[in-house]
Amino acid sequence: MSNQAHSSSETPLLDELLKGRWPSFVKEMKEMADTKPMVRDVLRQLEKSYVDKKTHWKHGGIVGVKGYGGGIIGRYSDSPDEFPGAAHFHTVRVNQPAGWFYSSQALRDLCDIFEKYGSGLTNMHGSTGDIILLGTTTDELEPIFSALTEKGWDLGGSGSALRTPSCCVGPARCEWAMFDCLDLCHDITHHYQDEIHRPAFPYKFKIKVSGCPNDCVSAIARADFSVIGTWKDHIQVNQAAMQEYVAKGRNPIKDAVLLCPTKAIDWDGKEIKIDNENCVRCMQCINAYPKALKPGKERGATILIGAKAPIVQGALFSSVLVPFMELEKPYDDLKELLEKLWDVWDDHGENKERIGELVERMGKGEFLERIGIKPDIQMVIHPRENPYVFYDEYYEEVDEK
Amino acid sequence: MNVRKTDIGCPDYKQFLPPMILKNYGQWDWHEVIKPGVFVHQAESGDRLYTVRVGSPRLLNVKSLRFFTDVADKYCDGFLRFTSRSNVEFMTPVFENIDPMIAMLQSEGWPVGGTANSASNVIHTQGWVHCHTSATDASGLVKCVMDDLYDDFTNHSLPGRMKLAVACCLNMCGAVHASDIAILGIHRRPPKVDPHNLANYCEVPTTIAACPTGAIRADILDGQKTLKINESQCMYCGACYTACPKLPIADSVNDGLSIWVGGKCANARSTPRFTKMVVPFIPNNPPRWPEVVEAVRTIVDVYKAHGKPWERLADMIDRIGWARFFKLTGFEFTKYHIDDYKLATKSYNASTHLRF
Amino acid sequence: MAVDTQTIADAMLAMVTEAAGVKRYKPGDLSKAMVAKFADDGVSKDDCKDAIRVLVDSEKLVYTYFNGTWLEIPHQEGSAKG
Ligand code: HEM
Ligand code: HEM
Ligand code: HEM
Ligand code: HEM
Ligand code: SF4
Ligand code: SF4
Ligand code: SF4
Ligand code: SF4
Repeated sequence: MSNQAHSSSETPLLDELLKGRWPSFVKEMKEMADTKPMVRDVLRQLEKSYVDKKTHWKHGGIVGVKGYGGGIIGRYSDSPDEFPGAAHFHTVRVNQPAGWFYSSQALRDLCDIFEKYGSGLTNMHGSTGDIILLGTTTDELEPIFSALTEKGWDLGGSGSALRTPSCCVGPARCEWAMFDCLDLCHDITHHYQDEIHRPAFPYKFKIKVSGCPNDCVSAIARADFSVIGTWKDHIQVNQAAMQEYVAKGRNPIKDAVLLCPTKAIDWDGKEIKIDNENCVRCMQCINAYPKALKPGKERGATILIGAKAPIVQGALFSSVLVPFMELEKPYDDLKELLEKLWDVWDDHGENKERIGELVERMGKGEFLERIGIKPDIQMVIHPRENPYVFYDEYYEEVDEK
Repeated sequence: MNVRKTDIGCPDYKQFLPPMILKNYGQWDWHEVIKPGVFVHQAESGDRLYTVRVGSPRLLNVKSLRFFTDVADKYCDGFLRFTSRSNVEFMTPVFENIDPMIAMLQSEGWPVGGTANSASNVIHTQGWVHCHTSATDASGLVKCVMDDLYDDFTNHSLPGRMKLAVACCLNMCGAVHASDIAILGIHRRPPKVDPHNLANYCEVPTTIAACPTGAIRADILDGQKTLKINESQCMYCGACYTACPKLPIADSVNDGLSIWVGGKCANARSTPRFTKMVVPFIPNNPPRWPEVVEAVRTIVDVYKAHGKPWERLADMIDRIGWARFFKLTGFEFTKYHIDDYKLATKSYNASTHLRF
Repeated sequence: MAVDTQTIADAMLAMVTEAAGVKRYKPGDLSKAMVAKFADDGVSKDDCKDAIRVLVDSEKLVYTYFNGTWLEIPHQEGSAKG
């Protein structure tokens, strides 16, 4: 490796992070600093952060490409005289392909563009799922956008917009995908280009798609609209395969019976029996015995809404809105639901109010009424405990029955 | 002249799927982890696909990406993918490719692992590398923690899955709140107003409107327009610094980290839940943050010693209780651990279920 | 509708220009105001979207991001002033 710490190094503290076995982001940056003066200045600025223990970036809110309201995150140095190369160092969010698959050719195209028009540094990927080009100047934004679209790439979302949807690996390489997550993700990304590129919502809106309740993309924690695969009928059981596991020393009592959250499994030493009425589709037994147990055949997804981070009103997970929805192309039911949600949020949401906060403020019952969905016991853990109820229906004293 | 293209969306993923995946799309039968970092997926057709998973620091330069494409060209029909935790996955139908491919990756220092009961790669955010509201550096912390957990990434050394995350401020750009172990950057003081020439840089009314708690008001200092922050109302969110470059929130002395455990996203066994605080504050100590590394190590060691097979950290703590978890880790329990926000009373123990 | 897209766009631009430096408007604020202003003409949210697109594509207004997305007259921001 070419980056041994020199005694005359400009970045002695960061050089400490070249040590150790885990791949070093400092090495990644230093390798580009050799040919990119802007990266050298960003490194020197980062060294300064390590010395005085604080950030030296300022937020940029205006830069972008013509016509779009998202995809570029503006960033300026707070010490441009000291670090001229870092004076502007904006992020470009590029919409990733569904499932994060690439051909080497496509990835090399991206590398060539990023090296020509920017720092040559990336995040693979940002937390929302986009390909991140970490750093370019204001002047390069239009050229990089043209170069990207020329090769078939477009920008992802930012701001009060639909953020770039993302999904798990799904049917491409997972036997548990309950529907085609990649196709759904691709389809809605293309269907809602306007919502992604021209922010019109009260605040951001994230859609994440996981093929089963293992939720590999953390949809329930990170998305305003979480689509998580599930099934309605019975777990498919292959008793012979179960026996093979046992012959190899596995113990279904320990791996399934005792771990099933609803005690829905029996194992008598020969056969596994599942009380499907009581199974909550948690995936534990299936995860433990993938060759013997498979999800049922009547497949679809649960739709949950409202996850958000702690600022301002405290963090939320998504919660159930539609217990079961079949997901077949062209996904009309899902799109109709999305558009209804956006309408209600548009009309009632305040600036910076995530949809989960609106539901909380409005009350889930009232919210359901506005989007025209019937209340369902599966939407709550238990019925209400508090007796202060505001009833819609009552008689005025003058009314005669 | 070229017509300017817009709204073309992401490219079609189908062109990026390896031939064996195209053939068996949606027809997978079962999978197994062969050894740390390597799985096999078998399709109903009987085809087998081998996947090698490699950990990355997420911040990657184009040279590293080009090296990955070389590996993909040599062993994987020219295709590769990334996971949501910044791992890189190389897929081949040829069993014999696995070991030479691993050798090629390891020769350049790339760790193979992150499957099943190993420590996951760390979801993290920008920090001092690229964010204006960061209270710490995410990349540096990840590097130090993973140097220490390296053998737990490359081996199945834990009772169950363990997902780690770092977010460099309360905005939490990376789903840290639902991880087994989360490191969260925190500010403890309001932004410091730089009154010099403030009105030239700052749209005062919009900055005042930016504060979610209404803590900011206009003021006059030496005849110049400036801003004043009501300290008791400020929750250190940094929103005003986003609006106005004259209100930096970063603070060398008072910024630092907190550590949270026991969150999860998966629905397996127990339902998803948020992390809970175990260490309220550790000062920033770059470049190696030894106190943070040690605290994470302590948690991992307790989990290794006391977790039962399949249990996530949250499941283990459900079983042994928080009191015993604090006893085992030796972390001090303070007033900061007791919630004082909305619905805080839901976390009070209204029972005589106690552990001694 | 009885008014054309350009008329809506002009009314939006006037609204933003008048408030510049004092108050920012979200795209939704402008749309709601126009739907109310041109209520008799039956102007819809979609008409407003088209008007916004006209303004942004002609660079009379730009999207900005300061704790949420706004539509503003193009100008140099504080952070870019060094
Ligand atoms: C009152 C001022 C501001 C507030 C309250 C604020 C708030 C936020 C919030 C809540 C996010 C997270 C949501 C998101 O991911 O977009 C965010 C992200 C971001 N903000 Fe701001 N912001 C403010 C001003 C600015 C300004 C002035 C800029 C740039 C000049 C800016 C640039 C960004 C960027 C680049 C992100 C990254 C995430 C993204 O846009 O997707 N923000 N801001
Ligand atoms: C006032 C609130 C917030 C501000 C000012 C803010 C600001 C930022 C900034 C400056 C970045 C870094 C962009 C870059 O340099 O590339 C960022 C990234 C991001 N933010 Fe926020 N943020 C806020 C709230 C949130 C919230 C509440 C979320 C989600 C829960 C969020 C999600 C994200 C995501 C996903 C990224 C990309 C991070 C990555 O991949 O590294 N932000 N935000
Ligand atoms: C044993 C079978 C399993 C296999 C083969 C498997 C496979 C995978 C794969 C391929 C990913 C990367 C997905 C992507 O981002 O595209 C992933 C991620 C994930 N898995 Fe699993 N998974 C398994 C079981 C589980 C279980 C039992 C849980 C939870 C208890 C779980 C939780 C997660 C989570 C939270 C992620 C997201 C983080 C990440 O990308 O690593 N998985 N899993
Ligand atoms: C009790 C504590 C917490 C709760 C209830 C909580 C809740 C949430 C929720 C509901 C989201 C949804 C994401 C969104 O708005 O898009 C979120 C996002 C996030 N949280 Fe937490 N959180 C907690 C603690 C933490 C901690 C301690 C960290 C970091 C150490 C963290 C880091 C993040 C990050 C990085 C995201 C962004 C996800 C994304 O949009 O990509 N959270 N949090
Ligand atoms: S969420 Fe389910 S379907 Fe998707 S990759 Fe994970 S285990 Fe497979
Ligand atoms: S999926 Fe979960 S709830 Fe259902 S039977 Fe298996 S372990 Fe029990
Ligand atoms: S978590 Fe906070 S500091 Fe880190 S990138 Fe997100 S907004 Fe910036
Ligand atoms: S840091 Fe947040 S709460 Fe504090 S004054 Fe600024 S905007 Fe208000």
